[in-house]
Amino acid sequence: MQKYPKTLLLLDLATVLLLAVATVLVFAYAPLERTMGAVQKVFYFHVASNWVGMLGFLVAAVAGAVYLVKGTRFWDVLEVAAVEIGLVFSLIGIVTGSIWARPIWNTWWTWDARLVTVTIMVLIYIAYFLLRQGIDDPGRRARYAAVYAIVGFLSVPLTFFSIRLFQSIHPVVITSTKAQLSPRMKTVFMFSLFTYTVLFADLLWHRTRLGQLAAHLETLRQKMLD
Amino acid sequence: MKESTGFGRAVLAILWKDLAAELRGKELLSAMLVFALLVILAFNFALDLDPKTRASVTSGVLWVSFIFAGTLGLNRSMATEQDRGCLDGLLLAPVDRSAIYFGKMLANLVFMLIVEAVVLPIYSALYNVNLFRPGLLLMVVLGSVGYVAVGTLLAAMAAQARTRDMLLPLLLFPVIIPVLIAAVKGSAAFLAGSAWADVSSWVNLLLAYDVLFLAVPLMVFDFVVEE
Amino acid sequence: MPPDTTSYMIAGYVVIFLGMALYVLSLWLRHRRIAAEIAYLQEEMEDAGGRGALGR
Repeated sequence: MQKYPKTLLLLDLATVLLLAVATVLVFAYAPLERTMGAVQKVFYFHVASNWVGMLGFLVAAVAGAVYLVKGTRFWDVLEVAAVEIGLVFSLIGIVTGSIWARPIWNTWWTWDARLVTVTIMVLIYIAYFLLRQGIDDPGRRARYAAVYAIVGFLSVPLTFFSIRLFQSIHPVVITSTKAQLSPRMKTVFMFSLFTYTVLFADLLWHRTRLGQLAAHLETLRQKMLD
Repeated sequence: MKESTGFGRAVLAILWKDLAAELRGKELLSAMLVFALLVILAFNFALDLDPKTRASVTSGVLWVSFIFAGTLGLNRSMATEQDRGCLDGLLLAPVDRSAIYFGKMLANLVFMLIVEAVVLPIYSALYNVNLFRPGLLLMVVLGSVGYVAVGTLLAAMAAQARTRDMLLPLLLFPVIIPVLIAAVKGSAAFLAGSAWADVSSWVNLLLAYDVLFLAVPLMVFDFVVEE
Repeated sequence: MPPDTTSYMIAGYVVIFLGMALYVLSLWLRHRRIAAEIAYLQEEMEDAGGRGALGR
């Protein structure tokens, strides 16, 4: 059995505390936005969620590259963990973005470059899990997943850029609202980003432990069969 | 110097092997061609391609048919290696692994270009438009290179999976969105006779994509074919 | 006077906290299942090992 590391426990506590403080800041400290009203407050955790999504996919690509060089199972486990967390938070980001857009842009969805890029990213990383499911040999599965994590991540900026270009030629129905943040808003925003980065580290650690436990179970099963 | 000629010869040998195998049977090329034409036919009725609509959707229709036909070709090229155990033979040969990638990639590119070389005049005749403009041909070549560069790498991975024929488009399509957008928009701009300034960014985007996705497989293909 | 968009704000934060809670729950459930299975397998192995030793 794995022992529960003390550092992890501390990280858990820090995450819960930070999340609580961030929530209080969002609702009590951040001022009410004049034109958008209360819904503007979704923005703090919405951007932070998408930030965690991007961070997850970045960590996955790096872990994939390290796996290809070193070939140790830890990096494969870390990569899966990062993709899974990135996927969950990207989805949260998309849904909360829709909820914000409904009263502000008067529609749940628009083909804005950021929205489409995030959606394509989600599709890439769903395909990532389908690829893993389709391959039985663990070594090969890990190698292919690592390659796809790298290829997928590299295509993301190009996707974003191409959609940007696509829109600059088409008329843009809704221009991005360049909201000027007041100093208070900026503080809350930065604090939320920091909180979510800690949250990401905490979840990544937990999910990696889970992956290692699952790998341990797999070797035990193999031993039983032999 | 000697190394590079060895690499080039290995690439050409693999390319030649694939082309010779295809020239004997011509199964793949005919399948890709018929499929591409069927896609255009389907669009003809689905979109009701009257002259006015056509002007705006021609490049989109063409690219969708190329990409669908390309998927057939990519699936086949790696699946046959797998089924006949040819890949193991290739891996035993004392050549750089990336030479295998480049050989397969060039073979897939040739197949795609042949299909495009047949589809373009047919489309021109059917819809009475002149598609033979240097700019459009440039987009077709650049787009096909980008598509095949990623496609060959991912097809090599999909061929090893249980769900291989299903898996390839799922892996490939989201990754090649930039190619699709740039190729469709660039081709449409060339067809509309836009100025170079309007098209150059699409050409640059395609070039950047092509370079990036020719370089990455070079580095990672070893890991895909490793036993 | 800003427009009243409070209900959207509430919906947004419900999604955020529910989403995170569900994910943590799924981590916990998976962890529990795998740990139980490992404990079971280890017990089996000890049993089998014990019997094997006696039989021989």
